[in-house]
Amino acid sequence: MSIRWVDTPRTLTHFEKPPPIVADFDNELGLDSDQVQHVAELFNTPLTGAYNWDYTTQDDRIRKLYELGKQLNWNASVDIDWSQTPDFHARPPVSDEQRKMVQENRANALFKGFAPWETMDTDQVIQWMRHQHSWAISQFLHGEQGALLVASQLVSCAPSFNAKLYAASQTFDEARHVEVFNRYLQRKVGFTYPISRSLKLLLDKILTDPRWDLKFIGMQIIIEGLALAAFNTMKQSTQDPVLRDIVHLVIRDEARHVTFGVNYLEEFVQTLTQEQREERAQFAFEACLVMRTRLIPTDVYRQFGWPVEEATTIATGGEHRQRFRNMIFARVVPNLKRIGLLTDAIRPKFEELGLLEFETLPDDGHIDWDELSKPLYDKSA
Amino acid sequence: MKITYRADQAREVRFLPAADDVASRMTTSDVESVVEIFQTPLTGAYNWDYTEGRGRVEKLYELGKQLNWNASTDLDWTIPFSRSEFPNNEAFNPFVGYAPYEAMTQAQKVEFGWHRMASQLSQFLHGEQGALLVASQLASCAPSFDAKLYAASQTFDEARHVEVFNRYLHHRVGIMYPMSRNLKLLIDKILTDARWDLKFIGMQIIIEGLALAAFNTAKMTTNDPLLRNLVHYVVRDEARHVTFGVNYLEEYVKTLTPEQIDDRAQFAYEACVVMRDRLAATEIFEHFGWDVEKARERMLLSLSGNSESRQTFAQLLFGRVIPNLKRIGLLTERVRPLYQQLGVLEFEALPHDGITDWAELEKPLFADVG
Repeated sequence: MSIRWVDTPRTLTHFEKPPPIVADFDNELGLDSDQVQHVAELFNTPLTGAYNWDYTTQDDRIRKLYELGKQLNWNASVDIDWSQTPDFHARPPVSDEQRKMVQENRANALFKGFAPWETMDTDQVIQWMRHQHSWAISQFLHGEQGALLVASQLVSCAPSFNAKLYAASQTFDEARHVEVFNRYLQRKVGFTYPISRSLKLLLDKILTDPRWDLKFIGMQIIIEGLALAAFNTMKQSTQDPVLRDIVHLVIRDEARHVTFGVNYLEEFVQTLTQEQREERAQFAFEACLVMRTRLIPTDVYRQFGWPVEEATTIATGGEHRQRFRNMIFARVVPNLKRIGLLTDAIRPKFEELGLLEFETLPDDGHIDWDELSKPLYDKSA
Repeated sequence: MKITYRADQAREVRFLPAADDVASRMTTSDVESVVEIFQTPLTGAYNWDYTEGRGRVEKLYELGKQLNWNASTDLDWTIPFSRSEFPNNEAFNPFVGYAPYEAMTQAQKVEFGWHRMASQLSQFLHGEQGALLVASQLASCAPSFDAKLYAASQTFDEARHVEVFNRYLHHRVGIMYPMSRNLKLLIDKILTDARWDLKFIGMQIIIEGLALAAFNTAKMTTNDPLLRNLVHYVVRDEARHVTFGVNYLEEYVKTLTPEQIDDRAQFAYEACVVMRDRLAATEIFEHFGWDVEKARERMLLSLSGNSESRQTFAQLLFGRVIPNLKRIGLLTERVRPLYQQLGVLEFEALPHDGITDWAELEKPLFADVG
């Protein structure tokens, strides 16, 4: 084993072929040998952990969420049918029908009239769409790794017994999400994009802050809230049955995570002083500000040699476009309100971003136990 | 929600509500959490290669996912066991024949037995909480992708262990003891050290190695079928954890400088010394008004009365830890004489967990539950 310590990579990774299936390994392959190099980036954080000494087992909402976490423990190796579509290296050539569809859709595309877009031929457009897709899934992957790191730190930091148990089940959920998105990229897509700069900025901020509840707010309310919106969009729009199944299962877990966050923080924020609360509100606002620009795949533009700023302006431009992009906050803002972080001091700032109108939408403080408890494979919803 | 921060852990014995129903009527705002703070600088790592398909650690992760038992559904909590029976086989009670013990009525002896059980299982409980905290920190700190995933599955295992021992104490025993000072000392040291691999060595090789021995003893000596089944499941997980520790550390230690290795070897030795003295449950003696020193002597004497049983005892404690330390490269020339003085160096030739018995680790959960 060797470990290469790096700054955040900025280049794409291509795979030659899909990785072997673990179950097929020869038992004593002993692959963890000298040739293996791991690529990692350090972060440092002072951690304020807590031993819990009361082990109180009251049958409260958090405990119930933990019980659901144990029951709904799906496994990417057995619960996803990976054979529904061919792996990337065995993908059939693009059919004439698909080609025709791409041609037709091109006329309504976001970049219509933009010179670099107009000069691409159909093959290049198909290639571009693949990159866009890889970029989006890669952000899910990196975001889930961030969630794994934060959730694991919450196990140490959360003061109450039930919250520690719950955080442990979430840690395992996040690991399974990292696993499943990674496998999808390596088997079905064939290459990955690095983490977007703004997502990394927010993860760094969350992971290295000494205040545990701030990590919690950043991850559980903001990043998970935005992710839930992105996953739902992906589930509706994807043509790939494998990806649809993956996202379906991931959403089941994420809904539990957001519910936990809102219910726990609602109680916890009340134990803070007014000043501490304003600090958290300010942090939450700044995190939203960072994430507002996160959904722009600038690395894809760069990869295709486009003028990045110009393309970004087109992607973000227009009031209609901005309103659409604001929709991803439809879950975050009501939840911030519910936990008491939409303070009078911070409200005008959200107003300026045009996000305050969401405050009256339903939050996740009220728990729909039927929805959270339904069997994993009921795909009717 | 109310959180009480204490400077030190609670030291008193707690008598628990007879059933969970009292607790279940509480609302969240009635609940007070009693916590003790620890501080640690954490050196975490993002992994950017996400490489799959590298072998043993990944396979252990796969097993972790498959063998995910659930205390709420996989254990039969309705198995009856009377509180007026001895919880453990009296043949293994070191106080049989000891005057203060023999002076007790039958009912008092049974009560004493439950207190010993409470003390032992409370150590398991607190130890598992320590394991939960360390395993979760490993998910942040481990640099490689496979180890991060594995550490996350272990974090969940440890949470289920804390859950199940806590539930058993509430359900069956009704008494909880504080964490023994030695165990607390070691866990404090592990949890607050900045070097992640040292946390890993302390928890995965030393504490888990010793716990595995203690669990196997508990499984052997208990009269309660529920506890036997419970420990059976826990042991299945622990065996996987130790295997992971040995396999991963074996590779990792090779990446360290000789000076760093000596550091780790010294730490492991000190941890072993602390743990050797951990067994005497002095709080029970206090509770029953016994002379603590004399009772402690009696206990150690019965465990080390003749050279043969002393050896058995030492082997029980160190028979797994020493060969594993050797395997991962921490039985360095400098610390060997120290282990020699403890009289445990001879165990270095016993089987270690570096060779994985996949058939054993993979067998179905319910294969041999009584």
